[in-house]
Amino acid sequence: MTSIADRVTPVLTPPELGRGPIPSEPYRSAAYFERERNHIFNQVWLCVGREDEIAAPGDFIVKEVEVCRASALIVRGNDRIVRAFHNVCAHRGNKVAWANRGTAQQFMCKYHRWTYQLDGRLRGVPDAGMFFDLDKAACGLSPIHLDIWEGFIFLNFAATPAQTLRDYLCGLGRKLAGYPFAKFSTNAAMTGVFHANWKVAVDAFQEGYHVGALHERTIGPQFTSQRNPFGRLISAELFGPHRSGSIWGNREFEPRPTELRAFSYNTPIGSDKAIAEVANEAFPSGINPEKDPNWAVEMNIIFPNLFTFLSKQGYITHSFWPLAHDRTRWEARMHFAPALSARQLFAQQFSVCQARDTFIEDGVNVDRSQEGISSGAKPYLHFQDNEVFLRHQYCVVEEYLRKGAVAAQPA
Amino acid sequence: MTQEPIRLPPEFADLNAFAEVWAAPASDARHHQRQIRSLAEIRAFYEAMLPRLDAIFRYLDPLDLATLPVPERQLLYLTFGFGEAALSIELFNAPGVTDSPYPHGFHVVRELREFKNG
Repeated sequence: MTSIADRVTPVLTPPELGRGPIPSEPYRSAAYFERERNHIFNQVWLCVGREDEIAAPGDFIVKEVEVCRASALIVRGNDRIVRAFHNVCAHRGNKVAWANRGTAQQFMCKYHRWTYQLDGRLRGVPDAGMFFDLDKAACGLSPIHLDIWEGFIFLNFAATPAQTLRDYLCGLGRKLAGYPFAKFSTNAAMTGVFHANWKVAVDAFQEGYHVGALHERTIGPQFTSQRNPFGRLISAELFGPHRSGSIWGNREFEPRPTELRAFSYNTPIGSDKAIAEVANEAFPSGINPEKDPNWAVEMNIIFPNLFTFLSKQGYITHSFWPLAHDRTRWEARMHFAPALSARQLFAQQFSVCQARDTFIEDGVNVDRSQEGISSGAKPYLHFQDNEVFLRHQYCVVEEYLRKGAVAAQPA
Repeated sequence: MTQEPIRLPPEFADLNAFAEVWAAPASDARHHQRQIRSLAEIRAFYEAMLPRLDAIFRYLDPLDLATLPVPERQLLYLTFGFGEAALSIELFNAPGVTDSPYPHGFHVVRELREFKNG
């Protein structure tokens, strides 16, 4: 790969993604979003959390997946197996779990107190003799396909998934396997709603071109300098529908006083000046494939809606959950190794606050972008070489919709 | 979550008045204080804390985070509040994020470490 400073023409974008402007209609159309719901979100594997959130038998989480019109109940059974069910009672459709997390010995519908075992089987029906030939064995909770990769729980809402999770994650799953996700076992979680199409929201996080501009006051100085003023990517890899890139870090960055203090206490996520010295020791070899000394973070996008930003100090995940064609719930988690001292916890907390302020910049910016896109004033958007992941996402979505439309045609 | 009365360890009792504002247990609550105060108020807190931080962490670091007594926990939260103030002073030269409204609708929904009883 040509080094960042030496590039005078595009080098990251493969020819099959094209070079032309991209239609803006997919980023504002309710009809297009309906097709995405059917042919993408209802078909592919979607990450809903971490296995260690439900470490003990009976631990459960409920994940609202509005884009699939589903409420998913994910629970660890007494046999320690993690299962997912539609959070829907067989009797009259009420939700059997109303809390979004907890520990249960069974699930009981509040409406008429039907009870379900942790493995989904229907246990008790009050006044059962008044039903007409009720087949209790057929009235368990409806299962959802579930699989786990590196501790991440994925669901698939298709009747029969087209691929296993491993096949779906393909080369990206292999590239990231072995990153010490489990070591970074504590996290702070943030959430908010973008008034934007899910792709507009995702796009705000999958390029570095904006970092020196929009984030001038926050993280800009850590990821840009005169050597790389426009936040060019070190590398960009495409794995089927997924993508992975190495983010350049400014090693001449002069931290502000509290950043400096936090660095010295516990170098926070995404800004380690000494990263190159240790980058190749504990990490899978595919991370920082160019072995660039300015490598700071590996950005990974698992299609359609999960980001992992991996660094030496921990990792950040972002999930983007479409609520409508122009509304998206954003959930971020910043994962660290558990702090051992007050000063470490301070450093991590400061990192969380600084990241939150950065994400506020992104959130406000995303809403403004959507307003402009939705106006229809610009029928096309323009993606440059370092926005290759945006172009790739557009192409992948188009491909899924094309294939989905073909598959949906009557034979 | 009811916040307990502020009672910092005696060595840091001179910071009690600041802690009434800045030592809330929740990230959102500390962030809120930063948003509703003037830059001058934020700076007064920031400058009062700066010369004390080394002493605060020397005091707190030997203690087990899992069993921090209430006064020490409040002192730790006060340093978190300092982090909020530092962002205003060092990054934005304004209380809030540049060109962003408040409330902005973004929330910390799980803290890095949850302490019992706030």
